[in-house]
Amino acid sequence: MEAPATNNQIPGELGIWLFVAGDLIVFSVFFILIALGQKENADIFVQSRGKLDLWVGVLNTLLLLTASWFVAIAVERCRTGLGATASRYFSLGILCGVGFVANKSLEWGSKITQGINPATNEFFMYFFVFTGIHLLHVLVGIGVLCLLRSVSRSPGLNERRIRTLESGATFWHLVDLLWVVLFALLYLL
Amino acid sequence: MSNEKQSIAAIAPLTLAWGILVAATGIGWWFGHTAQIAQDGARLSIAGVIVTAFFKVWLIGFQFMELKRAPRWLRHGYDAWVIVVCVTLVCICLR
Amino acid sequence: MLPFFYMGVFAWSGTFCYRVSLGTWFAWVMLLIYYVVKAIDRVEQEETASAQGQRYALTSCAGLLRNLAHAFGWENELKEKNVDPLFRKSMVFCAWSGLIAIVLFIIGGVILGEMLPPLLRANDPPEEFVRKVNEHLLSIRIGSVFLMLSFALFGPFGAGIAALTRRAEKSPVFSYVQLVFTSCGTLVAVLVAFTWALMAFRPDVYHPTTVQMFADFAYFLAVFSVPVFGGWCVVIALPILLAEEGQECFPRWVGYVNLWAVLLFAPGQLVLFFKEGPFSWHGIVALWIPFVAFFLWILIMCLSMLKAVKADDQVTGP
Repeated sequence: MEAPATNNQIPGELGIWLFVAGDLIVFSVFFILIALGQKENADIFVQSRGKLDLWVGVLNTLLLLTASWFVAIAVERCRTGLGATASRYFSLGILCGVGFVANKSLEWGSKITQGINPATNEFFMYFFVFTGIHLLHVLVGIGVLCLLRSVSRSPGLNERRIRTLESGATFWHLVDLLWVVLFALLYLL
Repeated sequence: MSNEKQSIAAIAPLTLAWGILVAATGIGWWFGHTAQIAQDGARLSIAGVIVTAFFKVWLIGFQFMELKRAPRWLRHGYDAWVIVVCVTLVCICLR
Repeated sequence: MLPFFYMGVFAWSGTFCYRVSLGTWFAWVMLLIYYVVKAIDRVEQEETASAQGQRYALTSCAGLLRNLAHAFGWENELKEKNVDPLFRKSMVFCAWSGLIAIVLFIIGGVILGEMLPPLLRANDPPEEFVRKVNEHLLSIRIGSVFLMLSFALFGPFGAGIAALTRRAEKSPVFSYVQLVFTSCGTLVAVLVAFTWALMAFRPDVYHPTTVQMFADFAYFLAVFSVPVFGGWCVVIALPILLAEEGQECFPRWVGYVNLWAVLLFAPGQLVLFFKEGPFSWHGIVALWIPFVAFFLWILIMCLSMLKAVKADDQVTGP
């Protein structure tokens, strides 16, 4: 994958990148908190991690990666003037996102019926709060994707609409990449 | 028609990136598996899990968020964030 | 730049008074943000300049219209919003009341009031609360006065933003909603100072759990009130992001910064569920992140208000 020639145009808007930067900084604090917690209560963390369903995490990762892929394709198609078929890809992305939410709520539901909640121990406190904050991002992201879908259907995709599409897609990819790290720290370690 | 061709050419790297990301998920899983089996001192596996995750993060940024087309300061700023957070986490987990 | 460097060195070596040094650092970070905002502006100007080529047709159309308007003598109507010197002065007042609110909070909340590096902890026993409050009685009292002054200034700060938003709207909707949020936010913030002051009024006479409740109450008002301050940010962001191109009351990136601020305030609601750890009201996620974000947000909004005024100056001449 060689890098194509760069130009000086920022993908999307400058503002969305400020948002991304801010979110990345805040989530870095979260990641470091998880790692420090792991250091402090290694036994609790290892034990509790055994109670998580790894399959659910892997499935969720794949769902988000695929959703990102669809969204990236959709934006690319809009840019090359194939906007008519792009909304289909946005719909697929939304479906993956909804799948993620459904999967997550099933996972949380089963944990809570097993009597595991944020008050159980340190690990589950981090688990529920951080995946909860991330879930909030996913829900906002699904809303953004719905918006992008309707934008991509509008006739006459001018430069400004393309920028809106790129900005929204950037937010969705942010949601994806945050999950990738959360998945590694909470499920895999 | 030329639009269609152009579009396919632009989508190919995205698909490749997706394939690599899925493969990397598998690799990260395997690292995590070895880390959990080995009772203590699975340091290499722990580092492997974190580095794999941040490689995925970088790839998502580079391909999907289109940092490949972005101005240099933005691209390198993102690279710097990935490296700093990755190194910090590895240091905390291995210390 | 040199004085800031010395300030930094002073803050670094200032172990004799931890809180003063912390306040200095806070100010230092704010200054840094000031430069970052300026840099962002420059990048944005370059961005618009590079996008200008594609919009040439559009702008030349607008220029033609303006010339036509000039020819017919409608110019005053078109530029009406720019020929109001009082508006400029009042905007400067509003922006500076926000900046002064930050300074007063640093004095009242960080250096004297013991609020931000939290003196108290959510999981302390009530007697510990009384002991700590008694130990710092005078500084908490003086700090509360400054806190009160700081929080009362949110009123003009919010009204200034609403006025700028109003100017870009044909029919005022968002600016009215902003005023509602401004008054709610000011009220909640002022109550923080009330509660903090009451806590230090007679901690020996009150039952210890009452002192504890006052502390809880103050932090709950400050960080549990997410919809008040978050909603405020949302109604500032919406008119910016929904506006037609070129009609925004603030640059578009300010809209995104507002949305980001909402996201940072949100973990504040976790304080209800935890009494220890990073999500309690003395923890990093629920206290530090929302507080720092809130004052950064004020700073960024004030700077963009001042910038909007400056842009006006360039149109009408000084």
